[in-house]
Amino acid sequence: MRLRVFFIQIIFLLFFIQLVQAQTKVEKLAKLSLEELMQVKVSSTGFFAMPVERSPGFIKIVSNKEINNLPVNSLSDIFDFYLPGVHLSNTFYEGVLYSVRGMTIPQNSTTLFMINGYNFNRATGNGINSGLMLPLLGDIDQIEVINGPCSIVHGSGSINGFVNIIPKNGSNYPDSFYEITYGFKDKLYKFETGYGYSYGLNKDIFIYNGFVKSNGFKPEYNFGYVSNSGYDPDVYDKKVRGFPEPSLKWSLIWNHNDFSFKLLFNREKYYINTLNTGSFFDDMSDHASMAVIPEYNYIINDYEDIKFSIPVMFFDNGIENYNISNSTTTKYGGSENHIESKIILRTTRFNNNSIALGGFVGFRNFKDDEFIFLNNLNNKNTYLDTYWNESGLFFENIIELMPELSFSFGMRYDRIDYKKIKIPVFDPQSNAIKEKIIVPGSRNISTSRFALFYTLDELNNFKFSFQEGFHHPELSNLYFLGFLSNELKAEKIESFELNYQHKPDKYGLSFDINLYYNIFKDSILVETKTNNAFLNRDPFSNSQDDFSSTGGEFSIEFKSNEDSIYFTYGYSIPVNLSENDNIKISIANNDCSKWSGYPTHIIKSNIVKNFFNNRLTMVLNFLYNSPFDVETSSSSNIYDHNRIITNIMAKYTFTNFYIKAFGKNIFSCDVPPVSYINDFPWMGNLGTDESYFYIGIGWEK
Amino acid sequence: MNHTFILVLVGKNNMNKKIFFIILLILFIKTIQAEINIETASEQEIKAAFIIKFTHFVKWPKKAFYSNKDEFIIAILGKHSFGNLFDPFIGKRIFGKRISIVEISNIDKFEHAHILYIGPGEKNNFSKIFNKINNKNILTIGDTKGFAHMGCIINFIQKKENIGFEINIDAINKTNLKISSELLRLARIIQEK
Repeated sequence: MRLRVFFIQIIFLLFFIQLVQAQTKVEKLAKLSLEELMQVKVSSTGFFAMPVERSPGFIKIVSNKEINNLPVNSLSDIFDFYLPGVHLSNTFYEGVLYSVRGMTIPQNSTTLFMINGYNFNRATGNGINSGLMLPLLGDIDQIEVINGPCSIVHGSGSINGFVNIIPKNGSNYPDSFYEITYGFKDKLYKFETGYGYSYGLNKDIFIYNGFVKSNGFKPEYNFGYVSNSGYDPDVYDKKVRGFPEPSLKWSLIWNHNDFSFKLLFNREKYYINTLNTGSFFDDMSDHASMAVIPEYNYIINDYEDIKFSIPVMFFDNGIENYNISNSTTTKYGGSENHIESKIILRTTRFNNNSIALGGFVGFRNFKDDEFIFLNNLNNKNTYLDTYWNESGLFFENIIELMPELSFSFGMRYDRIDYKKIKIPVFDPQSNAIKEKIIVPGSRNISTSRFALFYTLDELNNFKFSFQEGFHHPELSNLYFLGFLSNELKAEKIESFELNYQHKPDKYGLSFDINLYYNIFKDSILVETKTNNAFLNRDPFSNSQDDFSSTGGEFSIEFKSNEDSIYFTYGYSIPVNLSENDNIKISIANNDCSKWSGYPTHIIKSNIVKNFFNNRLTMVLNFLYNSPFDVETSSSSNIYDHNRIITNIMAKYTFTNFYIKAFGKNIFSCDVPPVSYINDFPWMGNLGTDESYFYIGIGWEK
Repeated sequence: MNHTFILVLVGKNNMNKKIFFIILLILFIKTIQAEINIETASEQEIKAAFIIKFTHFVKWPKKAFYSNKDEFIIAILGKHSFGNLFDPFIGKRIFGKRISIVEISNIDKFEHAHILYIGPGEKNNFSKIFNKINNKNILTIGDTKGFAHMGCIINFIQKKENIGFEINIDAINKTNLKISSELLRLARIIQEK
């Protein structure tokens, strides 16, 4: 309590200190050499790099500087506290649950998480995404987030938006940095270091190493946690949301002319949210993931280039289950391997046309009871191995009809071949489990994108887009608890978006208004039925009825030099598209007026104020989620609260040294966020009435 | 990570006082401007930086400053989306002259400018603008496809992931401006037929 009061006093004191002229980004850019300036990238979210305001859909770019100036620990914090319309909650099985535009479903498999444009999702469908909770952000250059689908560029998985992590490089981040951070409440220890070196134009290397350890915290007694879980955290001395053993992240980024090589490795061992330690619930997640991404961009001439890449991804997914009654730990899991080959030809040869066409083939497998990086696997009884191939062809053309009007259209065809699934079958004759091989066969899907961009004047522009997204059924969808869903096909989204943008004017004011109407077809993880028996579901099948999500996102920013006031608002409601009024949507309330796992209103705000010639940066951050007030759910009384979280940060920099202090939930009023219908607080979807304070000291040359 | 070090630093009993003391101490230490890493920038930020940067690679003849010896004028013609990006440069000196930024909507008012940025909205007025310039020692910078071919000295171009520029050699030769070879080396060269 005293600590919180102290931080608040400091914040208010410093906000009234006289402002000194700041150094702007343009001043810093103007200090670069011409060559360096020509290397500064314009933000990219498509086949061709284009300014955000021209890219179809609602896009938010979070730069490295913004990341450093936020009171956050992890990617999930950035999503939750900063990005318009993004809602974060927790799933009982694997931690953070990411949702946009109402789509809170039991796993993250329909949100595409990428490293530099390459799919970094695990594909067996457990909803695990590497590094979302890991408090190691020192190797990230920027994060691109799109709330709508974008399958034309990125293929399967972008039903529920996508997130693209762009790592740092040695040209933009030369020399070394070090940072240590300590968390007062959760006893977090974190160390990060990186080094960048440029040895010529387009020649650089960047290496990064970070590790973290933290105790986590005891689940709160509020919100019905103990009474429902049956486990008193004081008695069992159990924690949640911690990294009890050092978790780490390494990366190596090497660019040499037109060749680039990226190597990333994460090892995360963290408490699964739930405290429950019965035979069904798990206690600890142990994951490792590695991405190896060689890429070659062959510039043929001024008009054409070919981008060729062979990304290889490895994932280990381990679960440790600690049984309180007999004090034994069992560890089980499996590994995934993905190898892909992708080629894109881009040409601007034809006047006013920018054309991209390409294709990819991917080979993937999942092997149960086998680890690549982890060890101590001691429970091998589930063998379920899978092999499948993916391939696709895509094309897009951006046509500049007039200087102020451009139009783009693109098509994509994707195919998945499920080669085989090895499943365990009980043989009554031998009274043993035997292996059976099934071949679910192939599925095809076509998607498209049309977009219009119109420049009203130098400050104002409109965008309209129609985009489709899809998501191939994953292993956990095809085969679940002994049932094979052989007829399961890809789920699909059609999204209409209308966007108006006002770029920064002479007063530093900019804003962005986006309206969307999304139609979900053949949904796998959302059911539509004529009754409420969603929990006793059959093996997975595609929903027979379409449903919609509609709403909008709004963001406004006032920027004066390096100071800024940023405000966002997200609104979303479900729409029942079935002719049968009795149809219920499993993630909406009974009359389909609200989502049951997503706030109707989400407000976020971030205020940055600099002092002493930008040496002192103060940040005040705010999140509001509207309450969930559906009476039919047993969890409604827990979620029927306004969720308000306030975070603060102060960072002081001098010469190469800085000190950073930040506090999360400083008013101690974080109630559990609304989440998927099964994710109750006693299963890990926790709130907390504690504040968390961190202090970091860093040095960067 | 040295845990002991951190615990000693903050203490347990007097943690608040010690942190407060540390922060106050740091606040009053004489400081030097920190170096901040470059990141991805918006299109307009990069272009604004280029416009300032070009001044280091172009030499204006003395007579370009006869009318106003102490001022270096960058004129922005037409509606633009630079916002207040140029504000930090106003009043700063470049080869001894104060930079002033002038936003103009009328093509009659740039006569004394040293740099003239021509916004995309001025495409239809292009021939009028160049008749008015009439080979004066003004560095014209365009931001529209085809402007360099039409006589603009420098024109921004969108490369695949970056911003670049093209230079019309014949347009330079019509003035007494001297452009450094380094700038020419990095530009896409345009020559009128």
